[in-house]
Amino acid sequence: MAARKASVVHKAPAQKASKTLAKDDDDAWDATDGLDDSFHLKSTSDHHHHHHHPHQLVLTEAELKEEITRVLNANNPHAPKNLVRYSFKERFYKPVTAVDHLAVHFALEGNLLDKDSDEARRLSIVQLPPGFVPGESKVEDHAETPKSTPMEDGGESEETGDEDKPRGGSSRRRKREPKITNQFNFSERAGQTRNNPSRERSCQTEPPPRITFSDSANQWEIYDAYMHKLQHHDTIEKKRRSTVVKKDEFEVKKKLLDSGNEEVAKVGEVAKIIERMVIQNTMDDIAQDFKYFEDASDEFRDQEGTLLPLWTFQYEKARHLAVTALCWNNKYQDLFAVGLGSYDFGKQEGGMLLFFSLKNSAFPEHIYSTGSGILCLDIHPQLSYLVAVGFYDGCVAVYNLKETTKDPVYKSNASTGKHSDPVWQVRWQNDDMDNNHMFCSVSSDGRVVTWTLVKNELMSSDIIRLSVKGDPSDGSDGSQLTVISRGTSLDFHKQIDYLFLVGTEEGKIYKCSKTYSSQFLETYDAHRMPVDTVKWNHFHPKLFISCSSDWNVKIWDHTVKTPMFTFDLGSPVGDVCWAPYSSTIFAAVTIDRKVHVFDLSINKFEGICHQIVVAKKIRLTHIEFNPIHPIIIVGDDRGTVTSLKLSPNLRKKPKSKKGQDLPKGSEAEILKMDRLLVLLREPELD
Amino acid sequence: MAEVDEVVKRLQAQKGVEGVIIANSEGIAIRSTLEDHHTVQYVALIQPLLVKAKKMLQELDPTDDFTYLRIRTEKNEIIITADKEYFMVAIQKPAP
Repeated sequence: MAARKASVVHKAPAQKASKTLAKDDDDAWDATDGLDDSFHLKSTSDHHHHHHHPHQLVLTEAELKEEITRVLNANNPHAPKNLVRYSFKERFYKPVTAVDHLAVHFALEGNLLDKDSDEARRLSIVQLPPGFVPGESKVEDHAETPKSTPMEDGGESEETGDEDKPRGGSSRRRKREPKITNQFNFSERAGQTRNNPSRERSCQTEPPPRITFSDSANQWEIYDAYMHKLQHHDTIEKKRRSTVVKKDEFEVKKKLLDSGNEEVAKVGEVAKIIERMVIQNTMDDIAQDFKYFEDASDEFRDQEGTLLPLWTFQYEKARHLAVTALCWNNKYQDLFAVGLGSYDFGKQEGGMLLFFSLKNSAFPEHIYSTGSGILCLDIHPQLSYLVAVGFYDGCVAVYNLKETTKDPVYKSNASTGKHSDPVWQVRWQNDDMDNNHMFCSVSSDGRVVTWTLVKNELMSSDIIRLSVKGDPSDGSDGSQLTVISRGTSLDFHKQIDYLFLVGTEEGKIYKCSKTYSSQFLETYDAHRMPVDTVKWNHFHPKLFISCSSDWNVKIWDHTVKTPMFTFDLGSPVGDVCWAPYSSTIFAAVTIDRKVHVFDLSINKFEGICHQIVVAKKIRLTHIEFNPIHPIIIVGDDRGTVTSLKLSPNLRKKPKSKKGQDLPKGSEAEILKMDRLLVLLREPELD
Repeated sequence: MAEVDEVVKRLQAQKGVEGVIIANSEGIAIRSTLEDHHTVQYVALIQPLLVKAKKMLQELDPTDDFTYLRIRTEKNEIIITADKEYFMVAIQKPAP
């Protein structure tokens, strides 16, 4: 700042005018003092004369010599002189007297710090050249850690660090304290380096296999588990006692091999159920008919009845075979057996034994294939898994359905006494005294043979030989010839165990007894052609029925030599069968595809139903009534079995008078029959 | 094992049958005539249902046993049978 000094200026009169101007603002133009002087000199030389400027003040001489005091002070000429501030208290503008007279002409900020100040010390630590240790501070030499550590540690690390690291200014890294920033004009300079692009490298393995396992635990499960364990334990104990160790190992190995197959095979049962159900769905209407349909039109049909076709059972591989035998199972009344073979002498192609269930009409339950055609079969009445079969080649065999093998359990051969001709009928007997099972067979070779199942063998014993003493004239030398009669059918009496009937190819029926092996009890001249079937009545102990290819069906009382009833059916009769629920109803099949049903209590001369049940060119071969359901099965020569439902008219039971107690079923049937016979006999007697 | 395969074949040949599945108790299908994703779906959904049904019957009557379960829907009928280790499913379109 330039100091102002008070100056006394001696003025010339000529310059007064100009000075007056200067007097007005003498504070402002300090620098003009020197100029003024020169101006002053110049002007005196130039304007010696009183040259009046137009604006110049005209002053008198006395005024011109007047001394004017000028004062120089250090006040800022630029400072405002008339600042006012509004005072809220006094409500008017008050002049501000204290004005700042500081004028800054030049400012330059330096960067010098006091050496002993804190800041300087800190800075010096960072900035000092290597090797220089200022004052008290120590240099840290830690490469990694960027954070500040106290001074004491610094010394130690420095020692270790110094040994390891080379001393190069660039490589050395100080321990970084929090950055000291200049408070006044700190500016951060940041820079970014190029970052390497990151690439992801990943690898995936297969996750470990996981199984969700769930189960439930309650009292039953625990109990079952314990029982199972106990059983297992028991069996192991037993095995240990009985078998050799080596054998166990072998068995274990076998088990392992089997288990693979067993797994899926176990599904067998379950699969069976599903199959049945699926078929039930497809054949739903048939199943409904079977169960519930009753032909209402029977009421309007007088006494006639109809047969409603239900399922048909066939098996593809049996198409070329004829049904030669049918038999229902007593225990499982929806199961029946079909024997297949051929009646044709020239065409013998093996045979099959099939078991069908009504629940599954698409596929047989059991299939057995045989070398020779089957001609007859019988299921044991009590042990329904034993099936006796007679073959075309004269053998008999017994199959056990419980076994899984497809071979018969017993089979007869030449040494054990097989027949030399086809076996036409087999029938189970009651067990003999040693509790061995027995059955009988009849064959065209004229023998009626009893077979006993002893342990693993069949033992045969002839009951009777069907020999007939021929006329003396037959023999060439006049001697009596014994002609062997060829048996074609056989039936045992339901109640009397030893009494049986044999039908022969000559058309005769012999009543025989097991106890008499050489003679017949009775002979009936029944038919002119081979007797295809003889059957005792289920209820009435005296009656039996016979049928033959001579178109006739005859009903006999075994005490009478002549038939009670004779029916001509117009076509060779294949088979005849009594109904199990009535003593007066029977059914017959003929080769002209018809099923005939007769009810003697309703109509003694004609049948109540004659119905064609198969398509053209198919012959019916056998018929059987179901023990409990109102259906019959009919076999034909194409290997198909058709099931038919009997309409209500065909199933009539004896009516009971009101107030009268109905006698038991069989007795009623017997009574019914008796009444009929009485009616018949009376005219005969006449 | 061949028998079971035969049964499956026969079932598939029946009228209206859309699919047959055999699966074990863990829910893994061992035989199926449907496509994989359908099979998996069916098995996964049916298995807990079976467990529930069996438990239910057991609680109602401990001597009783589960034989089969039929689910009739508007479009289909689903028949499920089960034994200790396996269960079998058949899907059939009911006869019109």
